[in-house]
Amino acid sequence: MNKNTLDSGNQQSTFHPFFLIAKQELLGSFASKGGLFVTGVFILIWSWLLFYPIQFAAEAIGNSEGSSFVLVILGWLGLEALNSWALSEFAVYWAVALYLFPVFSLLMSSDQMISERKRGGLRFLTLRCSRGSIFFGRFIGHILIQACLLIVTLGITYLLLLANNSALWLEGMLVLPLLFLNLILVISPFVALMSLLSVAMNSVRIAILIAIIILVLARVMINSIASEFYVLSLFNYLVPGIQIKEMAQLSIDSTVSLLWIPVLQSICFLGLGYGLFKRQSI
Amino acid sequence: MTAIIECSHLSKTYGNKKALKDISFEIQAGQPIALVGPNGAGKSTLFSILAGYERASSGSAKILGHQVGSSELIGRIGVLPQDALFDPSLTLLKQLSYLAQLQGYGRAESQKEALRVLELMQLKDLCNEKMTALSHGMKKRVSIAQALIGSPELILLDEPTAGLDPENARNIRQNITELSRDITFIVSSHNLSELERMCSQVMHLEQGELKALQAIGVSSEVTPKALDYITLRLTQGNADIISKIQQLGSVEGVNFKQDDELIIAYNKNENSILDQDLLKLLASESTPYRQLIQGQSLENQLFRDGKK
Repeated sequence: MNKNTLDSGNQQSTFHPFFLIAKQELLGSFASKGGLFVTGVFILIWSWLLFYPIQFAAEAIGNSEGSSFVLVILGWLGLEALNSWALSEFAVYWAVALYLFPVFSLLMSSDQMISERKRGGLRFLTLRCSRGSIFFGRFIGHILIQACLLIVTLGITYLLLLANNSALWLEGMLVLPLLFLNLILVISPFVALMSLLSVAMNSVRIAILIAIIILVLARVMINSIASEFYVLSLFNYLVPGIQIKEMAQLSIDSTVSLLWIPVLQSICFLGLGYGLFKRQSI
Repeated sequence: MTAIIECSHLSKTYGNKKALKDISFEIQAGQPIALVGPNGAGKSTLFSILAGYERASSGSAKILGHQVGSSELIGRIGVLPQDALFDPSLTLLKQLSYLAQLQGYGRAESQKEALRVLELMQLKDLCNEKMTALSHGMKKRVSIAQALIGSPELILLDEPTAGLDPENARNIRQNITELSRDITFIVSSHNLSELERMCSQVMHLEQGELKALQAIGVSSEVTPKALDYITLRLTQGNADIISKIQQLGSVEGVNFKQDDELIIAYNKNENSILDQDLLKLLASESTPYRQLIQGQSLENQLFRDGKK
C-alpha cells in the first residue's frame, strides 16, 4: 500500500456515521424487495382507507343528515370530539392514523438488527463506528421511514380535503404540521420498543410476539398488581400507546399536553436497548 | 515503543466452558504473526475479543494502547470475521463504499477506496454484482477487501484462505506480504505451510491456553548450547544418507519425523555453511531431494517442541 493511499483514509466524510446509518436504513427499507413489499401493502391499505371509509365518514360528518349517524358511531367509539373538527377529512384521518400507524410502525421496525446480527453483518460496522451510532442511527432511520409514510398519507388526505372543499386550503395547511408532530411522537415509542426487542431477541417473529404481549397484557398485569400496590400503576406509563385513547378524544391543538408520555417511553426503551447493545456479543 | 497488542490475564468463559484461560502476551508491530491451534483452541474467541465483538470474562486487552472496543480504535483495525455475511441486497461497490464512508471517506473517495480494495482482491470487474451472485471464495475475498479499507494499523484475518482456490490463496498471501510493510497482520489458519511462508512469528493456542509465542524456525528449547536447524526433505527415504549427515562437522543430531524429512540440529558457530556442505554431500551420493529449508518447519516446531 503506498503512502498516498494511506493518507486518503484521512479524508473526512461530510456525514456523521449516525446519519449514514440512518440514511442507509431509510434507503434500504424502500429499495429492498421486502421493503418495497411492505410499502406497497401500506400504500394499498391506506389508499383504500382514504378513498372509502375516510372519504365516506368525512362526507357524512360534513352534511347534516349523515352527521347524526356518524355522531352515534363516534359516540360508540368514544370519539365524539372529532365532530368538532372543522376539517372532517383530517378528523377521520386522525382517528384512523392514531390506531393504525403504531401497528404499522411496530411491524415495519421489527427487524432493526436481528437479521443482520445473525448474519454477522454488524461485525463489519462496529469496526467503523460506535455501537451508539448503529443503535440510534437505526432508530432514527425507522422514524424517518414512518415520517415519509406519514407525509404521503397526510398529503393524500390534504388533496382529498381540497377536492371536497378547496376553500379550507389554509386551515388544512395549518393543521398538517400539528398532525405530523403528534403522530410521529405517538409512533416513536413503538419504534423504540422494537429497537429494544431487536437487541434482546434472536428472532423477528418472537420480537413481534413479545411486543404484542407487552401491548395487550402489560396493562392488565400492571392493573391487577396495582390493585394491591397502587404506586405500581405508574408502570402503565411505560406501555406504548396508553395515551392514544385520550388523544383521540381531544382536539388536535390540545393533544400536545399528552406528548410527554410517548417521549418518556421512547427515552426509556432506547436507554434500555442501548445499554444492552453496548454489552452484547455480536 | 507501544506494543500493538497487550493482553493481560485474559479469560473468556461460555457457561462452564473456558474458551480462554488466563492468557497474557504482548505483540509488537511488524511482520505478520501466525495464530495456530486445533479447532476449539480459542483462536476465534481471541479474535472476537480483540475486535471488540465480545467482552472478556476477566483480564484486559489493549490495542495500540487503547482498551479493545474503545472509540479510539475505530478505523485503526481491520478484521476478517469468521462466517460474517454482507447485506445481500447491496452490490459489492455500494457495500464497500458504505463501509468506507462510515470510516470517514467522502462519497467520491469512498467509491475509489472500494474499487481499490476490490482490485487488490481481483474483484473489480464484479463491483456491480450483488453478494448473492458470488461464490463462497469470492465472498471471502470481499470480506478480506473490507478489512483492507482505509489505513488500518492492525488487521486480524481469521482463516483468510479457507475455501479459496490455490490461485486466489496465493494472491492473498502475496497481498499480505506486500501490505505487511505498513500493517501488522495476525493470521489464523490451519494451513501451516502457508503461515510459514507469510509469518515471522507464531502464537500457539491449545485448549484456551497460550502454548508458545515465538519466532518461526527457531526452537523454543532452552539448552546450554543454542542450536540451529536445517530441514531436508528427500525425494524418498534413505537410511545411508543419515549416517553420513551425522558425520558432517557441527551436526549435533538428526531427527526424522517421516522417512523422507530430516531435521538436522547443528551449531552454527562451528559451521555457518552447513547447507552448502549438505548439498555437496547429496550431489556426491546422487541422492535427490525436494527441499532444503533453513530452520524447522512450523509443523515440526509446534508439534515436536510441544511434545518435549
